[in-house]
Amino acid sequence: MKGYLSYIKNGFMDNTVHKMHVFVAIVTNILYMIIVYFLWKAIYNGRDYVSSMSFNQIMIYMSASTALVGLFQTYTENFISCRLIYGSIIMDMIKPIDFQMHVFCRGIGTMIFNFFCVTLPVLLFSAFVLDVKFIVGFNIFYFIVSLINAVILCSILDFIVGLTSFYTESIWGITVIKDVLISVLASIYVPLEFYPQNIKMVIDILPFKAIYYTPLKFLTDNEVGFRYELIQIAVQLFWIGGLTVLSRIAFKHAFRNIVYNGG
Amino acid sequence: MSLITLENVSKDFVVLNRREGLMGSLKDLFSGDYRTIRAIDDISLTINQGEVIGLLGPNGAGKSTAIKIMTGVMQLTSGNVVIDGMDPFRQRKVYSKNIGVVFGQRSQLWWELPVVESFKLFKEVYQVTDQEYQENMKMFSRITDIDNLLFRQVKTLSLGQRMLCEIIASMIHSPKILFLDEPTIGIDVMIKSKIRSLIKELNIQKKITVILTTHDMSDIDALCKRIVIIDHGVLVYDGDIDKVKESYSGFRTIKVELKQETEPNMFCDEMIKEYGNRVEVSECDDGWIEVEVITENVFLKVFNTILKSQFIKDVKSEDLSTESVVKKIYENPDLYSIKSKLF
Ligand SMILES: Nc1ncnc2c1ncn2[C@@H]1O[C@H](COP(=O)(O)OP(=O)(O)OP(=O)(O)O)[C@@H](O)[C@H]1O
Ligand SMILES: [Mg+2]
Repeated sequence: MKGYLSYIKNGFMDNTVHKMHVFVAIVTNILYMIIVYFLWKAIYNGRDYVSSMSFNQIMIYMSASTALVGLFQTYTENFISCRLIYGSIIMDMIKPIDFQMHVFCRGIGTMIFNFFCVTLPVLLFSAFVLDVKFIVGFNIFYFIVSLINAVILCSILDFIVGLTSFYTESIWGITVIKDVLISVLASIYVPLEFYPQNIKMVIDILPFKAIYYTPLKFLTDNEVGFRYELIQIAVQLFWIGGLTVLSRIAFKHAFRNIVYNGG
Repeated sequence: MSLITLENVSKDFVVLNRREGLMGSLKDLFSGDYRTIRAIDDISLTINQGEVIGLLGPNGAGKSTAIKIMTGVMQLTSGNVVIDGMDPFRQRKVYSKNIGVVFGQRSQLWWELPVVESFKLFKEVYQVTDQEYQENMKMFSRITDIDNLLFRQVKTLSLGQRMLCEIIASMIHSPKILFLDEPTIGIDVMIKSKIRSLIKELNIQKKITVILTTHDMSDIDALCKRIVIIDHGVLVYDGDIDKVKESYSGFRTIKVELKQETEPNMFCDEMIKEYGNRVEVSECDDGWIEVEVITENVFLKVFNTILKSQFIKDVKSEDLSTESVVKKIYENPDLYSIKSKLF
C-alpha cells in the first residue's frame, strides 16, 4: 500500500520539474476565464435568467468546469500508449504491482499538482476578481463525494482509452475523439440546461456526464433535492463498477498477448 | 531441488509479412498473410540456487525472449516453467517480489527525478525494511561511487552512470534471482568492473542466482562458470565454460609472420600439401598468417612443421579465449551440439 503512495508522491514530483509550465498554465487559464466572463455577459445581456440559470450560476459552472478540466489533465492515455507502443511497459510488469493501480496513482499525483496550479488559481480568481458567489451549503458535501467518484471514473476512462492503442498501435486519433466526446457530452463548455431535449436523452445514458456535469450541478444548484442527489451518485457508482470490469478484462487480454516491441 | 526449471519451452511470435514500398504498405492494410517465428524452440533447462549463468547466443537467438519468459512477463506457447516453486506468468505479482530485472536498453528509473527518488519508490514497492535498505545502500556505495549520483536527475546521467543506477535499482530488495539482459552495453571498463564486483558480492554473500546475457565475453570470464548457448531458439550447449575450452584445446590457432621476401602463397601451399584439410590457412589483416588446426591430435605436429619452415620469421600460439570458443560454437552449432559425444 505504501508502494502506491510512493507512486502518488513521485507522480506529483514528476510534474514539479517544469517551472515554466506552472506559470503558463496559470496565465492561460485566467485569460480563458476572462474571455468566458465577457462571453456569457454578452449572452445574458442584462437578463436575470437564461434557461433557468442565473448569471452567477453560469459563472460558477464555467469556472468550476475550467478548474475540473485542468484537474483531470493527466495525460494518462499518452503515458499508457507510449509504454505499450515502445514496449517499456515491461519495466512495470516485472514489479509486484498492479499496472492499473500504478497508473491511477501516478494520475492522482498529477491531479494533486494540477489542483495547485490550475484548479485553485482559477477558483480564487473567479471568487475574488470576477466576483462569482459560490453557493456554500450542504451541496458542497455532495460536490466532494461526486468529485471523488469523478476522479476515479475519469482515471478508468483514460486507462481504457490508453489501452486501445494496444490494438490500434497509435493514440493520436483516439485522444482527439475522446476529447471531443468529453467536451460535448460531458457539457464542459455549455451546461446541459442549454442542450436540446433529445440530445440530453442520449447524454443521460452515457458515462461522460457523470464525470463533469454531476459534480458541477451540485456546485451550481443546492435545490436539486435528496432523491436527485442520491440517484446521480448511484449512477456514478454504476459507471465506476461497469467500466472497472471492462478495463480489467481489456488489460488482461492485452497482457496475455503483449510482445514488448523493441527487443 | 532446482530453483529454475524449464521443460520443453517454446515461444512463437506471429508477424505480418510486410511488403515493400508504398503500394505494398497499402496492401498490407488488408493483408492476412501471417507467419510464425519460433523464437524459443523446445528448451529444457535446470538451474540451482547460487549459480551464475551466462546465457549466450548470436543476435536474434532468443536470449531476451527467454529472459522475458523467465521473468513472467510473457506467456509461453507451450511447455512448462517453474521458478522458485511458482509459475512466473500466472503468479506474476507474487513471483516478481523475489526477482530483480535489468533490460540493458530500457529504464526503470524516473527520468525527471533524482535517482534516489526511484530507489525510495522501489524500497516501498518491494516492502524493504529501513534497516535492510540502509545496509544494502552501504554495500552499494562501498563497491561503487553511487553516492555521487544519488541526487542527480536521471536525465542528466551518462549512459554508463545510468546503467549502474539501473543495476543497483534491481538489487535494492536483495532479490533471490537476478536477470540481467545485456547489462554492460556501452559501458567503460571502470564501471564494468564495478558492476561485476557488485554481482559477485551479491552472489557470494546472499547466494543470489544470476542469469546474464551479454555479447562481451569478458563478462562471462569474470562472472560465469556455466554457460548456456542458444541459437535460433535451440539450446546448443549447456555446461561448464572450462570444459568447452578443454575440449577445444586441440583446436588451437597458430599465427605466423613470414620473412619479408616470401610470398604468402608459398607458405600456404606448403602447409596444405602436408596436412590437407586438417588445417585451415588464412591471411590476417595485420599481415600474419593464421593456421587453424581443425582436427584433433595434430597440433604438435603442425607446430613442429611450421618451426622448421624456411619462410617464417616469428610464430605465436594464440591462447584459447572464451570469445574464440564461443565463436566456434556459433559458427558450427551442429558439430558441438549438446547431443554430441564431445561433452
Ligand atoms: N515482438 C516480436 N515480434 C516478432 N518477432 C519477435 C519479437 N520479439 C522478438 N522476435 C524475434 O524472436 C527472435 C529472438 O529475439 P530475441 O530478442 O530474443 O533475440 P536476442 O537473443 O535477445 O538477440 P540480441 O542479442 O540481438 O538481443 C528474433 O528472431 C526476433 O526477430
Ligand atoms: Mg536481446
